[in-house]
Amino acid sequence: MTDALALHRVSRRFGTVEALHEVDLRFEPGQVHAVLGENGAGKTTAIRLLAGLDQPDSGTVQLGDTPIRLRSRDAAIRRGIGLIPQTGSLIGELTLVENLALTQPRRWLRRRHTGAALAAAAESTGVVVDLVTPVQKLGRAQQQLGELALAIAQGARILLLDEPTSVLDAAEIHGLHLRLRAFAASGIAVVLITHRLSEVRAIADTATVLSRGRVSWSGAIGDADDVTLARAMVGVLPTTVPPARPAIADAAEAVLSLDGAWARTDDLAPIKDIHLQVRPGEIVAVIGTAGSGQRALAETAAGVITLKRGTRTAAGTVAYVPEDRMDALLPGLSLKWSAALLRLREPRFARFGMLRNNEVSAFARDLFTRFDVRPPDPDLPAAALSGGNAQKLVMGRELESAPTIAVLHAATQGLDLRAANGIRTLILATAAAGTAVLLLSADHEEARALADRVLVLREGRITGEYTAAEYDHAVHRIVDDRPDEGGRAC
Amino acid sequence: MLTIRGLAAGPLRPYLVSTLCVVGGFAVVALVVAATDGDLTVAVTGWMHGAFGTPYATAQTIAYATPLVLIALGSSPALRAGVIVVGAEGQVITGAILAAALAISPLGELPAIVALPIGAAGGILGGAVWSMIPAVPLLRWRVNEILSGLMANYLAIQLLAYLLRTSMRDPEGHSTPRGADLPDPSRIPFLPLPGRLTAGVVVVLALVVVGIWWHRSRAARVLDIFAESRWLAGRLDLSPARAILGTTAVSGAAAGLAGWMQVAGVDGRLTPGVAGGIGFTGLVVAVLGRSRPVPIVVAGLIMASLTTGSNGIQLLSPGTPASIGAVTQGVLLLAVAMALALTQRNRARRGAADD
Amino acid sequence: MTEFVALLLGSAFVSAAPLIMAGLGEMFLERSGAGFNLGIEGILLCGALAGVLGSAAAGPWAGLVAGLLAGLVWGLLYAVCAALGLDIVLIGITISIAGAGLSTYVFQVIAPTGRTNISAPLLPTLPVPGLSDLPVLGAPFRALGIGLWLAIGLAIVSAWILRSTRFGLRLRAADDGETAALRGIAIGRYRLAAALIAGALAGVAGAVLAVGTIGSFTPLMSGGRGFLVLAVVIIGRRTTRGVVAGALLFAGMDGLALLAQTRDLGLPTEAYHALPYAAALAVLCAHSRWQTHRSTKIVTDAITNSRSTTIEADSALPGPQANATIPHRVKGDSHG
Repeated sequence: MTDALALHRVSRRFGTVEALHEVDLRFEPGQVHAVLGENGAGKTTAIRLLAGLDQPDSGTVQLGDTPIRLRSRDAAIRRGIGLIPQTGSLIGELTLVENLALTQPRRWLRRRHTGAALAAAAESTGVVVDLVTPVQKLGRAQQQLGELALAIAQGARILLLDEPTSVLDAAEIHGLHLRLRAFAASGIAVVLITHRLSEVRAIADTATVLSRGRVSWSGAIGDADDVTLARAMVGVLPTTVPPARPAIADAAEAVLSLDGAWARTDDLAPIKDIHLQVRPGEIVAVIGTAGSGQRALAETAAGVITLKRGTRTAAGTVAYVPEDRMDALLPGLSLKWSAALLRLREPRFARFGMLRNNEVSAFARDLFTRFDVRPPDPDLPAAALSGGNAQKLVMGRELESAPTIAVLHAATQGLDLRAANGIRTLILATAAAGTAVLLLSADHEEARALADRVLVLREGRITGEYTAAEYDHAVHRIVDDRPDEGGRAC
Repeated sequence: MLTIRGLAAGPLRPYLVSTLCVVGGFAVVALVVAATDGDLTVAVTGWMHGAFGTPYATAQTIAYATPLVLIALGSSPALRAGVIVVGAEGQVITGAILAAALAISPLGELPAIVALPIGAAGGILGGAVWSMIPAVPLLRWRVNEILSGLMANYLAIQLLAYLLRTSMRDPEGHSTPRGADLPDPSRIPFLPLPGRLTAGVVVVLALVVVGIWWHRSRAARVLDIFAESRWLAGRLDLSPARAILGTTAVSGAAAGLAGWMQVAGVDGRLTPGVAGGIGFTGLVVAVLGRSRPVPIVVAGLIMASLTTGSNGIQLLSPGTPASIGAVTQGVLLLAVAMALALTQRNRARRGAADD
Repeated sequence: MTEFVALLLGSAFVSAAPLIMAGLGEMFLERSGAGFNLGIEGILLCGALAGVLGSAAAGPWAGLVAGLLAGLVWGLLYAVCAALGLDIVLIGITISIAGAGLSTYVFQVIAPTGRTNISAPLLPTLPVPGLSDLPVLGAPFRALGIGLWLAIGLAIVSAWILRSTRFGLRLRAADDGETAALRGIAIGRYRLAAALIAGALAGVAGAVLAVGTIGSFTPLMSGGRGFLVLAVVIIGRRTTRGVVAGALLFAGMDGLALLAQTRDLGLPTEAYHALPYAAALAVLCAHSRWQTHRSTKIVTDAITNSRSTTIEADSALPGPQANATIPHRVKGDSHG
């Protein structure tokens, strides 16, 4: 008889960001439980705590109502908590059998013995998978099935799956769903972390919705309709109407345009056949979740990577704020260099070829004040800034020079409310001054509040375009993105 | 606050850590000397005397330091850009070869005012061209420049051996292979000072001044940026090609120039030992000097003193061979590397993280 | 002709043993993700001196043990410094310089110039059954140094460890630090073990170098072999078989160079001496070129300046940093 795994009033904070606040989660054996939420809602943090990869600041992890300490992933494995992370936890150069051997108590690998055990585990759950090829040569769906078989072979009674379907096609998703229900039927507690309502409807018995680190809804799936769940995920939408945006003349010439663009960057989520135009003063938002190709689109639009196919036209200066702030900063140098980076070639910063550090510091201090970067010390190492302040610095630096085009990826991700509002005001002001803004985000509220037009990016393609007004009604439909019938994810 | 705690937490901390590491390094060396039945006080006195005791000794120390400083200066732009240049040994050799070849040719008989710059140009060209062996593959195929640079060193050594055995062999015949004596106009004049200091010292001093200016320039800072992020450096119009090829060529040129100084100044002819390890030691000086000109000069003098001084040690304390100098170099390098790592970590951790 | 081949094989067998052993050690190090060791040269020299001293004191086997211990110490130093965050390039160069200096110094203290050099008993030899009976070609097989037997034995054992023991699998897993952590593997421990193995094997390699056929120590006697080992591991694609084959290849070139000194082989002898290094350079370029074309990145420099081909995980989790492998400029694995 399996015990129920639970989080009891758990809180976890990283710096100023509170990832989880007094969260209760409970997973009963024999059921499929979904954990729903947007990016940044706290789902992954909760899973890491349950899997033993992290420890809560307050509250406890409980197994069968008894508090337990999961000091390491190993400890959790021994307690039967299996984890299938989003990016996989298999060592690529080893086969599945060898991957299993990694965590077995036996010091010498008895290939046939371990292989048989794994094959038995796989068979008992109807999984068919190649056990003797190095994992990196198997397809992603096969790898996932392999991980499931491994977890069962290791004696898992609880399975935590983090966004398992983000890289699968419809047929593979269906297959996975059958497996998961079979596991539940055999007494295992299946926990599915996802943002897709359609999946939840398909296989989940119960669900908990996380929003901004708190539980916003919990109960049996049959008790709620899609709108309730969607609203619980997205949070209460402000009833106030966003300030009127100056109308963009239809005849205005686009300063940034992508035509039939195909490209990929190193995160394996390419963009395919993108047509996109941004005019001066316009804010175009692109909504998409992880794996949809946002980063490839951002880097293509900003000119960081070259297109595989298609054309990109960009007039004037291009500012780019990447998703990872640290990529736009110089971590090994003092803050003032990251601040003054773009203007370094200006004559005022050098005399007789030698840099005038005082001028650079003065410029940096001015930038810090204007954009509320703390601590406002130009000589601090850039690596010491918190995420929010790093974001303010990068945004400020890129936008203050009034660029022609601005590509902003995840502009307010991980920021507290006040900082986020500050950034949004800045974006609006920049657009008002004539900059063409391309805003890539996973935050629907942000898109609605800022954008003139909203594009939906899914699996590398633009699947919808709305004006800001239309978009309001479409929120719940966006949240419920069904996978493409017959199309492949990547 | 002048308490120990105050010092340990304040802005002097990096210097404190570095000094502690260096002191620790010397302590290790002292242990080694003591463990091999050497007399420590005698060893230290011998070292001081050998390195700085007489005007001749001091001049020798400076003479040893000169090529080290030159190579280190030349390597610092590359190091700042994140290109690890270890090919100096081979570039010294090829620079010396080309300079010697030009000197032995009719060009070398021209009046000194022409012959000397020709020799220098030969050294620069020889070193710069050889430095492209690690640079171009790094740029085009991301070949690790450390390994390719090291391989190029050994190739240069074999090239030198071959040439000294065949086409550049001294026709007057000696038991060991060596090149022909360079004609007088091509020889770098000695300075009217005790010891064997050539006019090369003046050249290097001038380059130190240039270095002091350059390291404060915008170009240097852009190289720092290149080392952190090629994309951001690209926004300042610095392409990887210019950064990598340019800085490597400078390091090659400097090493080649040092080769010219060896062959046309101190030695007077091409020999198999023309480089004699100064390539590697020069790199060490660059690291110890953190790629900045004035610390490089200090580090160069210290390194050179370890060589000249160890002769003095051996003289006074026969049980302690001169190679203690080499041990000290290694330990010192480790101590500085440790100091670097510790101060970087603390610096990043110390920064205020929250609003 | 066959006599020539026999001579070549003979000298190749002698040179190969240290290369194989040090290569195996380096293979363990690189496969665990702990970086690459530029200090093999220094460890070889210390191992050689330890080997001579040990052998002079208590026979050649004691010499091997002494070499192993000497190398173990340097391996520990490597691991500790890497864990402290020192740049592994700097660590390697330091070990090379310090090792060379220390071995020269200690040798000159024990056996100052002018006095007689230490002479130590050599390792025994064993004939290869069957092959040694061949008329001309059998010559090199009649007295194969124990060093080579040991090296081949170590190669077989290494292959078995990496393939069929939990330790070996975990060591290989440590290369993919983030994923290994998700599976609950303590990567720090395995990288430490790899560093110790690498150091110990390089030390034994040095001992074999000295007491295999020479029997005495000369300062800087390794002559750049330590750096050649890195190229051997690259050619050998970090596999046991590859390391053995690569080592034999380079040893063969060494042998050619030796033979070229006493007879005319067409090219000047320096060309043969240069051959291993030129070949290593060519292999480096070919390997990197192949890797660059195979890479999933479209452009040579994307937004990060990393020169690696690792693929970043898409979901960024706030959490403990994976153990840094190669810090500083040489980010990622730019030579493998």
